[in-house]
Amino acid sequence: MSAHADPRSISEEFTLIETKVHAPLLREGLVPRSRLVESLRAGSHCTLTLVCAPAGYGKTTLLGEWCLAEQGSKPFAWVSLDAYDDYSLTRFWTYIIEALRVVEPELGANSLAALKAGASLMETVMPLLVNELASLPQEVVLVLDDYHHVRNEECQETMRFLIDKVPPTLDLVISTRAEPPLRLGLLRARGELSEIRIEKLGFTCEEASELLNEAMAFDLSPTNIERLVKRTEGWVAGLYLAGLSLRDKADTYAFVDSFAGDNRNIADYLIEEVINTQPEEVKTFLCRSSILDRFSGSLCDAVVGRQGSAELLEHLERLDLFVVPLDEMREWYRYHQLFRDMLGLKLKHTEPDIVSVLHSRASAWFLDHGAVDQAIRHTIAAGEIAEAAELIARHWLSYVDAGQADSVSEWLSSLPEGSVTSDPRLCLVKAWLLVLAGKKEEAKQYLSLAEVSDDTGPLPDGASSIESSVALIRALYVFDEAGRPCEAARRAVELEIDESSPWRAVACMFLGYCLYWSGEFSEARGYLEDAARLAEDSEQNSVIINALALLSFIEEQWGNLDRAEALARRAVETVEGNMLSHVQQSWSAFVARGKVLAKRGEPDRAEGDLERGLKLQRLAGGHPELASTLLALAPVRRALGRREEERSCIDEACEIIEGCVDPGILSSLLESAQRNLTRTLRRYPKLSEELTEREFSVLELLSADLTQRQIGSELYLSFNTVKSHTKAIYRKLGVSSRAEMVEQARLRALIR
Amino acid sequence: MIGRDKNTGRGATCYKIVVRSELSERFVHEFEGMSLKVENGRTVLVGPIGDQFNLHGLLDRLQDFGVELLSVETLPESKEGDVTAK
Repeated sequence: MSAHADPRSISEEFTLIETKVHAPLLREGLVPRSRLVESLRAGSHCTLTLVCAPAGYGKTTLLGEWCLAEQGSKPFAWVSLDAYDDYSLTRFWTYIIEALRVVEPELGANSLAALKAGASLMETVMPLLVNELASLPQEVVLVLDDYHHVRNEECQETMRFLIDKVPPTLDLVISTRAEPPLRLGLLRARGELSEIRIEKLGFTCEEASELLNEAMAFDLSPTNIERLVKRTEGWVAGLYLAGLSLRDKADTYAFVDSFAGDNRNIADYLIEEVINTQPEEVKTFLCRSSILDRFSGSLCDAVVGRQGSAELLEHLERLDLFVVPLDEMREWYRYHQLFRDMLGLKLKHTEPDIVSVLHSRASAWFLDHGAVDQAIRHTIAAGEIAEAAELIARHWLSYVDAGQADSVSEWLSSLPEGSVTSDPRLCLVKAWLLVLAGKKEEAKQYLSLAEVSDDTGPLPDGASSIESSVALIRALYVFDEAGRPCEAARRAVELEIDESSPWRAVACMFLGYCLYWSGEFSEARGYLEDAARLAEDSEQNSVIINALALLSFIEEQWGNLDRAEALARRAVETVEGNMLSHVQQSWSAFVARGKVLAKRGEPDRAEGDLERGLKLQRLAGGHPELASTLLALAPVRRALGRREEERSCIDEACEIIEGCVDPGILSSLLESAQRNLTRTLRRYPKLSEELTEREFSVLELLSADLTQRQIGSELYLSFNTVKSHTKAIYRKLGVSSRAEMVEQARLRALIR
Repeated sequence: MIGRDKNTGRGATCYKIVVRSELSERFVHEFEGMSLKVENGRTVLVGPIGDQFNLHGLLDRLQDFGVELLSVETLPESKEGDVTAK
């Protein structure tokens, strides 16, 4: 990131392009569009405001003008989307939340943390965000500019969710070239959509005259204005370009004549006119810098191969040559999109061979400035696949750690076909991504591909060798293959001997994990303690959490509840202290605390923790460890008097365990849970006829000493209905008095 | 919409795309593999397009340049050779 960026509003882990979350700066000399600002204002009570028109109709400028008009009364959060944002659902929402935080710094703490931690968007992040938005202290306008770049169906789905639930504190505004798939028909029918489209956006003759005769100070007759409006059909960019072309023409009438009578594409024709009036050096600069989305003087110097780009950019801005400043400091700029596209065409036409050289220079500059993501994109665009592979292999882990696994996937998928499978380092990256997403089967082919490599050197990500990285991934198959994962983890520990490498802590944790699930508790403890210690030094939070939780499991199994409790508490503190409560890997901390609480005879609190852990495990795709949580939950459910739920926990665990090749300690955990279940059942055989839901509610209230009449009003039932339910309960339990009923119900654990 | 014939194995269908206004030579680089013919205030692009995804990509590019779309149609296989050769 460049120096101008405010570090407080930027996520540390990945480079957020600061200028994308601020409203654009407005140029002077614009035609004020108060009629449109008025209709935007009038429509802001609608669920959604849509500004929809092709390029060059002044959509962004209009929204910028509205933003300016509301200054001091309503804050505007602004996201300028571009083609890259589409690739990643995480990045898309990170930008949106960061933009909201620019105007409301308190907002989004939970949703952003959940997002970075890789929590499910629909299940976790979106509901959190909607709640946060609902509690905004004042109304905020959220502008998503250039929404047509969003193609990803998941982004659309999450956006539809937001639109469905959008609280009145948020005015959602979308500008786009194409109608987005956001169930607009429904909104329109309900009168919940405020729309500004091409008919309203196009310039009238009055507005064209204001632009050309007032702002640009020509002296065109009403007839000529009319001819220009007719030729451009009110297209704002076209009229503006016409104005720029007119600047150097002595005979304005002749120009309007030839333009109006010309059939050539307006932008194509006029931009050529405008560029051609520039000196050769400027022409080259414009074309070459068009490979960049955003640029600063320093970046342009490097890419174009010249000096003094910063001054030239300011000069171009003064000339109104479609250079848009992105910050007050005049450090970063971008081109108007249409202008950039036309420059790109011209570049490919005039200097076709230099395009890849330019991308390569851009990549080097971004790398020097720590923007790895953009460096990788330019490297790929330059066709330098080997360099791109090296960068990906080096930097993937920090992106995954920051919850940006999506970006890594994008890099891999934007490489030419076959690049991943032919590079063992990339095969490993792909295998890690798949395994972490719970897709173990798919990961296998990449592991096999990596394994055959005879490369023995260290990997760019710091792992000591391919063999070591493969061994680590193999350790995660602990329930899928007998014995082998444990051996693999041992090998990884042997290979990762350098204690200063983050991979040493990971290897120790993985070996402890394999040993734990195989029942080798004593040995597991040593490695887990090492892992926790090393990880604490290097702040590898997910390693710390899992090592502490597994240690707590071990102490709990050994009956050392005080130690187990202390370890679980540290694990939960690490989770909460680092805002990782929504991260899937944090499940173990909650389960550890839940297990201790269960043993301490606090089933209510235990249930809360265990269910929380279980939910996170399910989000991670339901690894077999989930069975152990279910089996810990079973006795808690019984203690709470919910026998049916106890049984369903055991049934589900049984099903998972049957699917494991090597269930390890899960088998004995299951057996003891089943023994408990059958023991009670043998003593109290299953009711020949089970109680209905309603009868359960009545039973509960009867045993709480309520009268039948009170029960009726509690459950909204008539006195007679309560009576007949009571009769049915007596019959099913084979009892004849309330006291007897309560006793039987207690024994059978139907009630507490 | 007419889908491509999967049995040909070549995967590309020949399209004729007509847009309003006359596009310059430079667009040839942008729409690689397509021939550009300018006539009376319109431009006709003809050439093979890999699949629907590529087709939409190309239409999006036209929209990026502010080019107005008039029609899109598929051409019979047999003509493909003749037309692209022009």
